[in-house]
Amino acid sequence: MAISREQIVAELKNILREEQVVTDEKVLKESSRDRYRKYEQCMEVYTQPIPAAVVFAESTEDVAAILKFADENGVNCVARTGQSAIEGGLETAVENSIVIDGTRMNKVIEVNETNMQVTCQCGVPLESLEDSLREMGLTTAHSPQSKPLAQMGGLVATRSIGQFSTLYGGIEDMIVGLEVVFPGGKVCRIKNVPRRSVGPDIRHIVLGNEGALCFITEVTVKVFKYQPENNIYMGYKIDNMTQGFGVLRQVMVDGYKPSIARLYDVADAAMHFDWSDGKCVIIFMAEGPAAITKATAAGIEEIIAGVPGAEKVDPAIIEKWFNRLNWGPAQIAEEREEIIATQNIGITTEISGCWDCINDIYDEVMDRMVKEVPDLTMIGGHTSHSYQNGTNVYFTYYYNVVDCAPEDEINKYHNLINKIICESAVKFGGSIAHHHGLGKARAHMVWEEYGTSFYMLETLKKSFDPNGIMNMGTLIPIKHNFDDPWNF
Amino acid sequence: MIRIVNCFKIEPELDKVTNEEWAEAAQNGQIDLSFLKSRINLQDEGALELALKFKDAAASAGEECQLSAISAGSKTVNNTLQTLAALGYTSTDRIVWGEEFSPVRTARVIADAILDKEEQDMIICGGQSGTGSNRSVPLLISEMLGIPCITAVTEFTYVNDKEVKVTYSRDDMEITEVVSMPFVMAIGDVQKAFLRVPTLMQRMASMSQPVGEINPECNAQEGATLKGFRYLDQSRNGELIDGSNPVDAAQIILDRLKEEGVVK
Repeated sequence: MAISREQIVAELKNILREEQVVTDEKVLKESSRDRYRKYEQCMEVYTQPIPAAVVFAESTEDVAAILKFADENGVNCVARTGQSAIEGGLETAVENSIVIDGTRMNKVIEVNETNMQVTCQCGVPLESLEDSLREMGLTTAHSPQSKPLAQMGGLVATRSIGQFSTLYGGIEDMIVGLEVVFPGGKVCRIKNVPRRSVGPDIRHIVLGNEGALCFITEVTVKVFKYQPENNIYMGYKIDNMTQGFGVLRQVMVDGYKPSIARLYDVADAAMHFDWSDGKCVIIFMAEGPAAITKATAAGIEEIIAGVPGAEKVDPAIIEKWFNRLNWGPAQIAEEREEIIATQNIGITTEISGCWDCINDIYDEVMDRMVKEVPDLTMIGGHTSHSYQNGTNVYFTYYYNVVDCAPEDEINKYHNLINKIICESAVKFGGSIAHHHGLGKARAHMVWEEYGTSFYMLETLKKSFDPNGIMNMGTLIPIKHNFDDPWNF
Repeated sequence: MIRIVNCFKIEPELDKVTNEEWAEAAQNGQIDLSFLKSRINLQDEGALELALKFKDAAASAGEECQLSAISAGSKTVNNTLQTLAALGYTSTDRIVWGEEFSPVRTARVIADAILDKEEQDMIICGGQSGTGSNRSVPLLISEMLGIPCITAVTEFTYVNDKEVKVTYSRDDMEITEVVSMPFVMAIGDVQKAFLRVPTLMQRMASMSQPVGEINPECNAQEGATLKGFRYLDQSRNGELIDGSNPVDAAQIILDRLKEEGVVK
């Protein structure tokens, strides 16, 4: 028999200090969702079950004790740190959940300049870590747009990627070792080594688990030399996306590794740049030792020289613009006011695909969005992470919420748009999520995404979380409408 | 039929310029703003949205309202004019004009552009731009057109085809009056007055409406030009004090002020 909300809170106060257990109604309501339900947030409407408590863990022992209690009593737990999630991963989909907040576990444990790695607790904010490392001439080289909010545990849990990924890779390429806690309170540590051949790489059980398998308490990531004095920015206006995808592919396939490689379509470029003049924009930054950046820049220049109609943009403009790209609490507050006033809301959905299908996915989404989504005010896209074999597309869209109760907005607009984008990605062989994670939203297409390999994901979930207490509904939906999957 | 013309300005997002960049630019005497995205001046944005709301209210009362928009500057302005066309502005004109620091000359070209139109019932401007910041263009336009001007307006609503209810602020007071048209309004700080956003369908439907170009006889660059500027350090320090209750907190602040000689 499930224990009551009051019993859960009472037991948590026995396990932790009373002050670590928060039951303030406003905090609980705000903790029942993330920015996937941005419109509901703005309109202060709450549609998800309200958690029993938000607990602020201060140690691995705290987390282990909470997960032991939760596992024994079948209480759902949602792990969080910086709360920048935007795919419903932080929604408390089960009644009387416990939200385990890791923000107080914010110590940088060791900066090892010999091994070029930093070990920190899950709640270390990326931005402050990065600022301190830069003072030492080092960098994490991880710079997601959410840098002002994101913390280390969440970055690993959501398989984050940063704006310099084309050179440094995603968090999966940076992670060295980990400490995690599984349901029942089992603490596991994965040691810090450069590489090993001892069976499957078990770090990947943790990476991207989105709190559905374990709670990450400590991470060790690589650090790199910080050499901004060698950075070379490049920007060009080009005629169309097909041309742009071709340039990106050639840069990657020819072996160049710019840290930034971004391609904006006409609509997205117009959102960012006054000077785009109705054209697409492609941007690069070469980073690293001076000799390499010069060679990378020269190689890219040579490739661009072969693009008919490409027009160079002053590199200083690109550099200054890029340095203002991140968003933080101030931008979120400003955006909220604007949404309330205009009832116009902007959201993004990112997918990935190999070079042979990415343009098809892009075209199909653009075509379907205009035809199928009501009250659309803008649809555009850009790529920001490229690889040897393909790239991502980050669709940006705005719509007016018209004749719609706040609680109905998610199905009328947001889910409809996600459906179009994810269906198009699957149709052409791409992935439905490049770096935001499945959360609880895109989890509804987990079967189409995984195909026969869903067996492996499901087995992981059943093995590590047999009692179903870890962020239920994330990765694998709890309730799924098979006739109309995007209506929930 | 009520005819309204909005005069607005597009300006760079100056709040994205860092203190260091301002300080460096002050030494050089020039600042490069080319990397910044432009936006509608905030008071102008409030003015445009208030005009659209007025039109909606007038339409509900069975009164037709014709909206026009005029701006000055480079082709960047056209994007906003096209947005306004999609929102129902039936006339959208750009004065082909560079950066201007002379309010008299700016007011002259705008007034001339308005005089070239049919007689207007309301001329609406933002009270102050971020770059010129002289607060005088609306007053000068009203003088040139020979009609009254109401400043610091925060709201105006439809009464009938001859009168408008106008709310404005004076010395921290808010005053509401019914005013007869025609007149000029300088819009002040309207709370949360964001301009509504047209749908792609509305944009497509208005694509055939051209943006008019007005070429004034005088040239912006002939007037006052930017010679340089000074950097005013207006930074503030913040400090978190640890008072367990308001009395403790007040005592801590008082002690600190005494220490610093602000109070005795």
